[in-house]
Amino acid sequence: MTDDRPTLHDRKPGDRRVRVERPHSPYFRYTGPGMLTAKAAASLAPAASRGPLERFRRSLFGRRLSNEEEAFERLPKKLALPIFSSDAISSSAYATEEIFRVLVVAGAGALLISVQMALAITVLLAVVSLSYRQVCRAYPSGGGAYIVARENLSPLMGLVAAAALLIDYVMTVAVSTASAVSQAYSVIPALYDIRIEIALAAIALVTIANLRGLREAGLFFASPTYLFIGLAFLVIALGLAKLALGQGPAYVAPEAQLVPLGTEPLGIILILRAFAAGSVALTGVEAIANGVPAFRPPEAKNAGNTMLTMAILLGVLFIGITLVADGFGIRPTEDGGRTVIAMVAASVFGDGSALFYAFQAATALILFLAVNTSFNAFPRLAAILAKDEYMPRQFAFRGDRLAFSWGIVALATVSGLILLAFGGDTHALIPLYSVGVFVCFTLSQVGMVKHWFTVRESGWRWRAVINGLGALLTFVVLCVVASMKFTSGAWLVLLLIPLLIAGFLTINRQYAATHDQIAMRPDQVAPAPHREERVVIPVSGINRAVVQAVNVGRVISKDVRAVLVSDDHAHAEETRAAWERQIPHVPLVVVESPYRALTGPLLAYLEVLDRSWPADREPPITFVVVPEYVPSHWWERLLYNQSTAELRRALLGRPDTIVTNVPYRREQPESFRRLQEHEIARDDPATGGAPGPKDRRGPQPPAAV
Amino acid sequence: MEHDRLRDAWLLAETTERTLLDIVAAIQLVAGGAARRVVLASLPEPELVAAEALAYAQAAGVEFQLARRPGVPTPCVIIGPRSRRADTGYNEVS
Repeated sequence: MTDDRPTLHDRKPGDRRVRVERPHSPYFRYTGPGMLTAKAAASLAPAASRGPLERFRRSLFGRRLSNEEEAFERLPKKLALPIFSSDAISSSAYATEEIFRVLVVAGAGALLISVQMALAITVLLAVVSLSYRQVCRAYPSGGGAYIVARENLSPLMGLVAAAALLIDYVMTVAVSTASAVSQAYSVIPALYDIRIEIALAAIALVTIANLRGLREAGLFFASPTYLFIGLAFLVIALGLAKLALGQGPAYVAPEAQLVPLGTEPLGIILILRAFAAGSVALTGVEAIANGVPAFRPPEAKNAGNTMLTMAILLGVLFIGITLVADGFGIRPTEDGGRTVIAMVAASVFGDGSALFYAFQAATALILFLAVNTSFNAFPRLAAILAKDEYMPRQFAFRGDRLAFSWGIVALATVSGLILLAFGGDTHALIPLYSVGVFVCFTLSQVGMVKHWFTVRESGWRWRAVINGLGALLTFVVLCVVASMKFTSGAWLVLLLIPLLIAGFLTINRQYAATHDQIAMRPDQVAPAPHREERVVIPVSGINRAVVQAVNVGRVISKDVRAVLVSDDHAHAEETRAAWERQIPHVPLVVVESPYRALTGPLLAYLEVLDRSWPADREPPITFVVVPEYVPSHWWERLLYNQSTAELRRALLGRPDTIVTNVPYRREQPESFRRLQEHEIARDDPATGGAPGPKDRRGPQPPAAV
Repeated sequence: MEHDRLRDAWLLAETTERTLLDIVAAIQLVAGGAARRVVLASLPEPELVAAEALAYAQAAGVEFQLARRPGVPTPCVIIGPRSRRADTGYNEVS
């Protein structure tokens, strides 16, 4: 391609005649000696860009982004707060209810200690948040518990944390979605019957939003989070005001819908169970520490401040909602009934009021969007694990929109399956939830203590004390949660963690073994090719694609043979006769097979070819050159090359064998007509093989044919 | 001149060796039961290896035929089907 810059008039006469040829300019930019940087057009095949699938993909996920655009994808604090904190903040919508559900078995009096329980959990939240704030500063590259445990404790401890985190993220998506749907059917009871469908649709929506990229996802998620926070503060303020003025609730649920009050004694076990249930409020706190690199610079400082803001908001909301619910004497309902937070809102705003509906909508939305925390954190953690070769490498690849597409899709799939398996029931899912969270809390805090003792920088002693306190408290809570929830589902998580670790280690061993086999020693010089080559071309007859493959085969080696596998004697004879006439210099092996398969006899032929090779010589490299017809349209692909694909699969991994595809593209009808005229003129003795005038105008025939 | 003769001889040896390898592979294919018959067309210099190939075919118990057709300069080699009595069957070379 010629550069279209105007001709420059310089001092030398020849300067006017210089043409700057830049054939690469539409696709690449010259960035230095021997260096080209791909432009957007290079990643988009010209044919693919026109296809209906590509158009659909573009409309769904947006245009492709270049790596340079990543800098603009960093999040300001006001967007990072809803993205990374919606999970933690939204847990205030169901944490109170989980405490109530445990305490209700001990009667109405027991519900009174729910406030103290919320206070104790908030103290724990404060310690954990302060500890994680230090993680943000110490590890600005992100990774959270996995990186901290891996670097300070051991790689195995890192994997324990990673497994626990991955489970936690999956459960966050499942629990938050199920809880969001429960808010929706608190207002419209008819939705209870289609709760799973709604939940799956919501997950699909969030998946698409995340595949579009981080920044747009942030804008999508910011407003509902802030709306929920604003309305929740209004509920708490008005509720507390009503209680202070001695006013009763504006709504009381029918007694038939409520969980009956129990008569169990309020013992230490019940209190610990209620504490364990309420500790779900802490889930999602670690997400900010995992996503520090997504913040705008200074990343660590911004992440630390966002963490503090999130902890304050969550603490105030959790205590406030519990206070109001306790003050109005609210009790949880049976399955399919209203949630506690819905009853709190109805008690304050009045059932059926516009503010009640607005609050319910905001609660449902933030819970739907809380899953986005996991959609940001899970793919990042999976990418880090993939880079460390504990997960398949695809998880580290970024998609067209700079999102870790594999992680996003994997998270959506697994959480969707869990929702289906548990029938979209929040209370059935919750026992699986917080165990993993506290495993990684504990590991990361212990790791941080070790970190401070290692680096011994300014103020390391008090930092180590904060993290040590965090480690102690979270370990105690882990023991409580694991023991109290063990029979109701925590056992499954405790079983899954070692299974996941076994999976990580297997993948790691596999990558290491492959690396050992394919790596070259640094002092090793690549030897010159020394093995003989032979070519086998599977054919089905004589056509232009076969001729092109034969020509390619003859370029590779002198030792070429075509192989026709046939169960039709007449067809085989016909092809052989034509072959001897039209391609006389290349041997044709006609294998008359008693069976109607292509792959089996061809593999058998390759086997006997290998076996007949002299034992005293190094085995040759066998090139299987496969002629392949390239259809013009996507739907034509169904009609062609099915046996070729099967053959390629069968030959994959065969020793000393290289499969080479030789695609033959169909010409446009007009071009093909000109090509035929050219060939007839060339072969016609009357014209002396000289090309006619039409040939000079038309395209040159493919060189290989 | 001497050099040219040596090169031609070497090329011929290489070609006939390759032809023989192809025929042996075809014999094994038929003897193993993977193919009923194998026809080798456009094979270079099959006559030069016919005797040796016939010996291999007889040992494997498969039919061996060198078929020449009008208008086609090189004969084609037809291997198979399997003969009823291995090692003792008479195979016609035409």
